[in-house]
Amino acid sequence: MESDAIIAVLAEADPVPNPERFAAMLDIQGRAPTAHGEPAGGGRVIGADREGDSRARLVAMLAGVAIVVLVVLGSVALRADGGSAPASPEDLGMAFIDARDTWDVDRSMEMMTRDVFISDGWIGTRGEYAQALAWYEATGWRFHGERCQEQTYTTENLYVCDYTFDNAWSRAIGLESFGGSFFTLKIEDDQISSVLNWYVYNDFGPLVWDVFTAWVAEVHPEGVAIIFSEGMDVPATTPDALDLWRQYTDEFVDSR
Amino acid sequence: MHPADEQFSEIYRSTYPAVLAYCARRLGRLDAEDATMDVFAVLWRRFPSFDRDHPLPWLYRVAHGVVRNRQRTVRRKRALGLRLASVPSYPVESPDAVVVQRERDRTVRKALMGLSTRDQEILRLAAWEGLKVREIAAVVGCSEAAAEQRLRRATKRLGRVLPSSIRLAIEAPTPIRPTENPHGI
Repeated sequence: MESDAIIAVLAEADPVPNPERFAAMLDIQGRAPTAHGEPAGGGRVIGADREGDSRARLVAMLAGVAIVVLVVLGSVALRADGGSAPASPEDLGMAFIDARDTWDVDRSMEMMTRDVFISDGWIGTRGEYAQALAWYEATGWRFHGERCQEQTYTTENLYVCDYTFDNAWSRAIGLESFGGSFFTLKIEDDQISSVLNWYVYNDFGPLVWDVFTAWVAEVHPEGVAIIFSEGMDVPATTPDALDLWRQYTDEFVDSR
Repeated sequence: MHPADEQFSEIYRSTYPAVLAYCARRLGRLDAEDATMDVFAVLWRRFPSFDRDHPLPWLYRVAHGVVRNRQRTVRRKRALGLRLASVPSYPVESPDAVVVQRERDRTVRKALMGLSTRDQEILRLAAWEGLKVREIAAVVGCSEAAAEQRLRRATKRLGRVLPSSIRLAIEAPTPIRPTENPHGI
């Protein structure tokens, strides 16, 4: 059958025809843990690396601690909550959510590496993260961290942080915070090097986003082209757009 | 060890290569490892409510979202070409055959890249992940009938954009292509 033959031709063009072999080539199999982060086979090697590097790590850690102390001393006056530096990766994860909750760009940027990988909806870079915080502020988003836990099975330094969220629109509609979302953060040397936001949209989408965007399209059709940058999914964050987001949010809240 | 821990470890061990391959086929080698970690972090978080008897379709579905997000970021960073080029290739027996096969594989992959992302995904799931229609439906989140129809249409569209040399070989009365995967999968 022709379609089967086409699929067969495509199968032959598979760039990873042997997944087991591919994984072995990347030396991933040796790092496969049994549980609680205890690698099978590769664990000894990783442990040995750690031992061998312990002095360098200690020096780096002390230097890191000194830097953190200096940063904290320098920034503590700017903090509204007067909080101290995160004591653990779990605390750093919670602080990251807290900085998002307070739309604190400086604090968020401090926590992330310069080349951080971000996979967070339309946010993919540090610059976009900063823009997103401005948009969250304009539209009254709040993020409430519930807990951060290390995910010890597959790789080191990976933390899963649960949070709930709501925004000015959802509160105006009378809805509670939305749960089920979480970040997976790779935290190394007191900084976040990877952010994946597993954002549960199932309820918020139809109950809030669609309601608000339909309201905007009806009441302010002239503003739609300004406040969105791609269809009606990605918000624009130019100064003009943010002003409109703020204005429309206030009007939407007043109208409920 | 808690029974759930054992189950997680077992699923991780048994599905890791497949999930890694899924990510590598779409992202290239470098991003694939991180993306795979993200997929299993999601599994870890969702494990209590996870259908442990049928892990792969669910994992592929999560991987689909993770890969899509990473592709957006990678596109932004203008590094996709380099990363895709980093997927290793696998040698076959004869050097001549290697050249011919690699050229044909490149041509086929290029044709695939010319299709819509939806067509690409359903074709990859069928040809590279080797999923049955029922499993494809579970991954892409549609009915079995819809998945079958999408796959049929996507296959036709791929057939139309393949170079004539490959099309003629497919349409020949005696297929020159072996029915088994030449890589022994």
